[in-house]
Amino acid sequence: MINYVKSELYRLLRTQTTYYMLLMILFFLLFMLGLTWYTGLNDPNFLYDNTAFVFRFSQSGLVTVLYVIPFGINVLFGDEYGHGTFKNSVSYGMKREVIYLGKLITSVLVSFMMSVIVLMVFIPLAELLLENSGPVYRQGLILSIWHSIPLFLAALTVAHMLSFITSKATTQILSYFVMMSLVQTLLLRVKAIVGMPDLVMRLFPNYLIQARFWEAPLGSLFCWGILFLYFGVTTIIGLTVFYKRDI
Amino acid sequence: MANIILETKQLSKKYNDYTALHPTNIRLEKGCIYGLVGINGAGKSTLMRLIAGQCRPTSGEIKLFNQAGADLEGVRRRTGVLVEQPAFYPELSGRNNLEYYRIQMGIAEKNSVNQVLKQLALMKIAHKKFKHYSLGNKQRLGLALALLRNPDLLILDEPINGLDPLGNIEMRKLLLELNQKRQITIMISSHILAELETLITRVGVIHKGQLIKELEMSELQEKCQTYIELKVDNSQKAAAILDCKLELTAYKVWPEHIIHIYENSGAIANLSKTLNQHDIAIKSIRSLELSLEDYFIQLIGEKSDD
Repeated sequence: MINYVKSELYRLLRTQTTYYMLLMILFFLLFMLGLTWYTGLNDPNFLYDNTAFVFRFSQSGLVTVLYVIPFGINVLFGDEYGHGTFKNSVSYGMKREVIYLGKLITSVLVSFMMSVIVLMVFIPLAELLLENSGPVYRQGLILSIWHSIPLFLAALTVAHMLSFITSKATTQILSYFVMMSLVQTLLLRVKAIVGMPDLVMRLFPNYLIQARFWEAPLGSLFCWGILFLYFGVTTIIGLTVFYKRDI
Repeated sequence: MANIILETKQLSKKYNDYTALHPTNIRLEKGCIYGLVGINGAGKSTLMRLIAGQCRPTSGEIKLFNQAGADLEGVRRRTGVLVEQPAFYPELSGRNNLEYYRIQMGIAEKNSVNQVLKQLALMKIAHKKFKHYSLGNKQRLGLALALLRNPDLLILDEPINGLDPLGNIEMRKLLLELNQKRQITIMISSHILAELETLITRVGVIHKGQLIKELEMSELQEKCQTYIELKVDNSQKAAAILDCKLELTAYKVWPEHIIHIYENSGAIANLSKTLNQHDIAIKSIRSLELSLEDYFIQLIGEKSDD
């Protein structure tokens, strides 16, 4: 397993698209930051060029991370079937569960590294360019990110499973959005009309992030429980399909 | 008892209603070079993919180095595989692709990548991205990966495909060297029997998913001996004479009153005289050699007629 993860990290660190993805995320965030700073510079009545607004706005926008995940997974591993590279590992005796879990661990590690880089650029730059409203808002953002980690990882296990059970990138991404967003939206409608226990909605990571569920009593523990539930279900489905697949 | 490296028992593969491989039994002894020959779509790649673990068999068993079932994955570490197209990451260089697999396989010796690159004459283009490789160089890189872990068994599906004539000769030389010096057992496929003629020790002919013939190379060479082609005015009558008067059995009657006689007994000396005595006019008679390709076509032709 360690060798597999090491080889995947070796590959991803030598693949240009990994860096393009990081640059795109940074570019988007820095563009928004720059726009806020520039507007504040030219408009004395502009009230939002401060870290209080930017960090709180980022906090409430954390749910968008869930929508970046399937694209990220696709960039990292999405075309394994297309390249046919699975067959080499299998032919040389690599167990399929090692491949499945190895790639999952790698995607967690790469996502973590990218997040650290993004935050290390974004937070100091925001504090440098904008009016500093004090450390409370920065801590608020970091805490929200910290508590969202199990929910991000839960979403990542879904995207990961889909990259193993379907070969086409469009199918992977569409299925992800149906499972993670469309079903939740429909259930919310049903809940509004006929009523439904809140527990059903709490099975969806985006619902939990939007509701800042970790602030509820035992909320943080519940979020970690959701991660284990997602991990268990997706690993069973993903591995069962991957075991039977001809590659 | 010979050391059996690979054995399949009633191994088969079905895709819905289509049978890609009928129940197949093969045995590879240590040190042999087994040639698997068949036209495109005959089932060669399916058999090799099954052995390599790339697809699951519908029925049957595979034994590698005397291990079967769940233990197969462990012993696959002793094999080198190149089935169908060589598969690598297009954005990585040839060297980085091999390095990726070296790390994955846990090969401690860092120089092993350089060694196989040198062995396959890929040093000059090792820095190039895989997507810029020619078909021949992709094949070489695929073979380099197959050799990376010093395997005991090589499974190569049409490795000569895409190589220029010089590369073709070099590849055969390399495979022979690996077999003779390092006792590597090789299973190699091709759709051209003559391509493997100088390389293999045993051949299996596969057609429509069935292993229709297996024979030692020496047997094959015997079959491909000289024969007499006879053109007469009445092949039916001539065949009866060959049977009854000359007691020849190894012959085949072709259309347009052509008869091929594969036997070289003393009776051949009296062939024209005997036929003339029975009023059979000989239009032409010549001595020909049955090539490997002719034999192969004859074999699959007979099977298709069935």
